[in-house]
Amino acid sequence: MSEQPDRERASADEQRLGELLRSVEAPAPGPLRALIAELNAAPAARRRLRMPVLAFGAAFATAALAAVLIVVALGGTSAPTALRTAELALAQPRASAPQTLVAAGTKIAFPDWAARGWPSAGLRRDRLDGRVVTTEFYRSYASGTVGYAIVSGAPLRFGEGGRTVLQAHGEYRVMVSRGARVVAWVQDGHTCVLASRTASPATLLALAVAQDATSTVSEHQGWGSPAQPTAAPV
Amino acid sequence: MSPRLDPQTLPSHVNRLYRAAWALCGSPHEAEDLVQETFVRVLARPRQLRGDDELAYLMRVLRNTFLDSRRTASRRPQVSAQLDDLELADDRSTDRPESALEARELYEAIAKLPEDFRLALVAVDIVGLSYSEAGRALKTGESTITTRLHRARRRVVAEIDGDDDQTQREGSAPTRRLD
Repeated sequence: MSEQPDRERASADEQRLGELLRSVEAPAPGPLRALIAELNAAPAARRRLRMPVLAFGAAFATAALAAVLIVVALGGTSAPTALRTAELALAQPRASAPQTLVAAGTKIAFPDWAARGWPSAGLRRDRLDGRVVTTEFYRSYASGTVGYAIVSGAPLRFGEGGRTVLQAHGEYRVMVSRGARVVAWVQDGHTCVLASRTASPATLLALAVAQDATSTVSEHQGWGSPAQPTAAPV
Repeated sequence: MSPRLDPQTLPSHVNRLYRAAWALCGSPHEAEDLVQETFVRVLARPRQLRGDDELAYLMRVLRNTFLDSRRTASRRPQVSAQLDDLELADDRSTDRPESALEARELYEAIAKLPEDFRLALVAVDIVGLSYSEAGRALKTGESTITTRLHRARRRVVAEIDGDDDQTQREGSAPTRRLD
């Protein structure tokens, strides 16, 4: 006896919910679609690489793959960009970080995020086309490792792709590069880059915005001399 | 041999997955991250569909990614959550504020559902899977999907249309009604 009203109500609910869902517009934001398109581009390139493997045999394929890996490792371009800097921010630390660290060639102090759940995980210093790149690494239990690189000298180009996000302190470029998430911005006339293979773009952006209100020190506090020229391991 | 997922077709599913993700998390910002993470997982290596169609496969990955993110979030230190909660610039709602408000209200109502109900509703009503496809994607039976779906729809409609009596009755009686 109660089944018929239940069916009617279920049918009415189905119809009503359908109306509600159709009445609201919720398309994916353009930047998200752009990021997905970028993500999609990388596997497409790898699939194309598999063709010579089948056609020309293992030896040729090994050589071809090695050549491609070299191109990939070098980023395919000689001009320093924020994306090339991100490769350093995704590399391994080489030393533990001191309590206070100022990026070489700048007056920007690296933040202490330990109280926020991101203790320091070390640092490294590299040269990138004559500029010094100082990178401090932070590790959170939930979001993994983030590298924060600051480049001496004038601001770099960001590189291709990504989206620009406006926040209180200025503009931030959010990019995806080979599966890693990158946020770049200019602070005090220098390029700053946060990069991670594990943290989300929203987390990186939140960290960048928090850091952008950082103190700029009046006196350079050095951390030894820069390392010798290095490749950018990824 | 099972067909492979064709990455070139995936961007056509972004809108639907985004709505599904929004309904699962209740936040458009989290939805963006969830969709991106889902695609990162899917594109990490070639995928066999194993009898699913693309949407059903994506729904399954979205569900797994969502559940993983919930588990991770439950372990996340509070201070880190505060960073994630930092308000981000959002230019999505500026051109159609009324529509955006309604969308937020509706997706938040769906996000308030118990997880099993929410997943069933998202799989069928938002992603567009059949009951059997939803059952496979959510690893449960078709009849269970039917039951969860009916209750989920009832609760959302009651929440949106202000049917308090129905909301209370459904909310307090997860087992079969005897009337």
